[in-house]
Amino acid sequence: MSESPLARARELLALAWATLDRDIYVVDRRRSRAAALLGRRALEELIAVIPLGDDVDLGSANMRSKLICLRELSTEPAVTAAATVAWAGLSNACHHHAYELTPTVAEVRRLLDEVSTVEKHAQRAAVFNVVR
Amino acid sequence: MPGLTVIAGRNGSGKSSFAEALELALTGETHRWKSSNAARRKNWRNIHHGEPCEIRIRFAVEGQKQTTLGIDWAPGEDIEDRTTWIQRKGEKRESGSESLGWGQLIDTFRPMLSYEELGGLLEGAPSALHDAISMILGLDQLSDADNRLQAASKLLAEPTVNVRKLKADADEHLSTSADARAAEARSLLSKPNPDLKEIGRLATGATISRSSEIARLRSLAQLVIPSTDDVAAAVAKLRAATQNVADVTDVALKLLAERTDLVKKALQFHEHGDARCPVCGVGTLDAQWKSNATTELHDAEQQLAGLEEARTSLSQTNSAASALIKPLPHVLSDDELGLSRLADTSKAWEDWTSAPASGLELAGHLARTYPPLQEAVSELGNEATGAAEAREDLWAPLAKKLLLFLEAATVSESNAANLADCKEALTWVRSATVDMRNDRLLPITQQAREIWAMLRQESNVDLGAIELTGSKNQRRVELLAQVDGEDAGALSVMSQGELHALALALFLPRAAHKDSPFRFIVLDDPIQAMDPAKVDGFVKVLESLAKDRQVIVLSHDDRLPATLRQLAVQARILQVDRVTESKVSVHNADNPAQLYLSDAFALVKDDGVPDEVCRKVLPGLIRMAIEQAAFESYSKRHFAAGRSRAEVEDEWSEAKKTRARVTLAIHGDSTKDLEGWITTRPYRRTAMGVAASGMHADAFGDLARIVRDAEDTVNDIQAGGS
Repeated sequence: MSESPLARARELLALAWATLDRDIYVVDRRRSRAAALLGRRALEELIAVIPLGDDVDLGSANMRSKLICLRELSTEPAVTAAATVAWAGLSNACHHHAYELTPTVAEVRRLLDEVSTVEKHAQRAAVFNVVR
Repeated sequence: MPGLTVIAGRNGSGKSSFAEALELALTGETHRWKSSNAARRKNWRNIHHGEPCEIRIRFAVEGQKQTTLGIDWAPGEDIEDRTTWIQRKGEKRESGSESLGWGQLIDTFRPMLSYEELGGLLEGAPSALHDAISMILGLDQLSDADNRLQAASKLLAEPTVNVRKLKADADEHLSTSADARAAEARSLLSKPNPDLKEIGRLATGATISRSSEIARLRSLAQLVIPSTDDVAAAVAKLRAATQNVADVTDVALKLLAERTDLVKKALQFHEHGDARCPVCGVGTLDAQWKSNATTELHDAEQQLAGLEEARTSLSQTNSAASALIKPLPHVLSDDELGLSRLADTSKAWEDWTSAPASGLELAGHLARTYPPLQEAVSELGNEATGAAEAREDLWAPLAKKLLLFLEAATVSESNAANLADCKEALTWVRSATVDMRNDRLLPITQQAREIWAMLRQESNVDLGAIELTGSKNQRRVELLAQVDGEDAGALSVMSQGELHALALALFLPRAAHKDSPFRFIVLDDPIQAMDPAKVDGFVKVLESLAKDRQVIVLSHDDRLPATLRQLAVQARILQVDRVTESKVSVHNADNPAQLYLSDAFALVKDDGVPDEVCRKVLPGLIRMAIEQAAFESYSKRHFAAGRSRAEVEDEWSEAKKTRARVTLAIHGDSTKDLEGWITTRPYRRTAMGVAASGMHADAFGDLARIVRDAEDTVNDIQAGGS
């Protein structure tokens, strides 16, 4: 695994996509849940690297806190919404719920799309930070 | 107040009773009742608390005071025997709900949709779906015009249809008649464009040709012969004149001639000079005698002239009498009419005309032949009149038929121009209807497609155009769709859940239509058959709808509230529970202000969030919670008072600071002083201070305490101040 959290996140997301697209072998019935797990991990890493201001470091805070802070401090509501929807969806998909079916491949694909939106933003922010 | 409210409760908790009460109050029916059988409809009262039985719904109506719509049932009354009333705050209760003026609008925009109704819309008759959609297009006036033009066309075309029937009828009757006019009428009728004037004249008898039977009969009925008096006078005159001439001639003329001769001779004798009269020997033929004799001679010549005159008079009397005799009229030689008296009359007339030249013979002829002639002519006249009348009696009903035809044909002719105009107008209205329908359908189609795009999620069905096609019994909605890029009819390729989502996509635009006066939408259990993924999309739809209207969703499971919480959507969530004995309790589970507070509590509780981050984020959350509560309290009160939306929202936007907004909520006027309210409770000062100017590391102590202060303040504002 790479050193930078952003690079790590991107790798995880790529793995999630590969799992979903059958580039990596996983038993079919576990495919969507495995991809969701990888996507959720990627999102965790991504949230951590989105800069929210000079004195904000949420290192060990839980995801809910991080998302609340993101909503309150981020100036990009589209990214915040994508992160919120992806986190809720992927968290659901990663756990077994009574009376609910395993998430479908298409459902997870949609959630990974949301993660990709967050990833692109994080990437942009990172470049901006380096330039600054 | 715009916003999303979710009423959640388990099956049987009684939440649908709220939706059904609203539906019954507004529409007088509920979809569920309509489709259930009589036996089930019997038990509609609360088993444990049957009395009092009533519904109360309070509406905020723009421009009016808070309006309560009530329905009461007396003990034991059937569901249909209800009493409906409305009451505006401070005014008298009015019977019935008509003065709200919502009747037709409720049907048109249908702000209440239940799961069953949605399913029924797509599974029911195609025409019902067509009607439901076409109602919102506001084309009633055009379809009204269409109907009226159709009726007018029918009315205008009616005489034309009749004309054919009447013509055939007239022709049939005419064909049985021997009357010469019948043949003439038939030949007029048989022309493609019958000459109506001529037919009219024929029917009314205004023109009768001289050669026609009726004309001949009439002239026979009116034969002219000299009057009895004239004939008698002529006979008398003739006789007198003849006698006169005879008298003068016989006596005077002879005497006069002899005397004249004698005098002439005496005069010759006198040539020889005066002498004694040779005849009598007494007198003397002298100058005196000559003068007297000349005068007498002159007188005698005068008498002769008088005789000449009498003869001339006789001759004139002869001529005058002869003039009374006219030659045999032409009509008397007409034996086609079959009149029995014709021959006798003709004979009598011939006798009358074969008169001697003059004098007493002529007088005798006139006196002898006139009476039979007079009798014959009179009898023939009676016979001809009778025959003419008989013919007219036969003709009258035929003429009536012709006149009926004539009347219809005349109306039809004068209608023709109007009918053409009418048909042209109808064509125009129809094409205008199609154009306007498509124009007005377009935004609805687009909105439906947007909603579908959010709801479809995994569905491989792409919604295309929505078209209203067909007419009358064949009218239907054509939903075009693409399945994996291939064209297909939408309905046939969709699963039950997809159909349901599609129905929502089609009917939410109707309920949210810009022309709808209702700023609320009530959805009863809309997500029953929805996948979790679709619920996400549905939440987005609800969120966008709730931006400028009140959206109330009743939900039987926790998926919708859970999704709303997860996606941090600003929504009020009410929990409905059935306690004991059919008692239903409703409590606030979540509201937008409290969502901000619960976020704040979550941050405070998370040890992983550094203090300085909390101090940075909390003031924003607390401010939002307070302002949200203030807006709810303020707008609820003012909308209920009937103030206009725009006014209320403008006033809110103008009060920019938290303090001014809270002042609006507490005092209804942002310029009033809030200090008194703040001072009453110390926690209010803390919360308002944090909301206004943030948190400084040294200014406040315990963060959890601050959030609790904010919570108390929010509760106070929600409770309505003081």
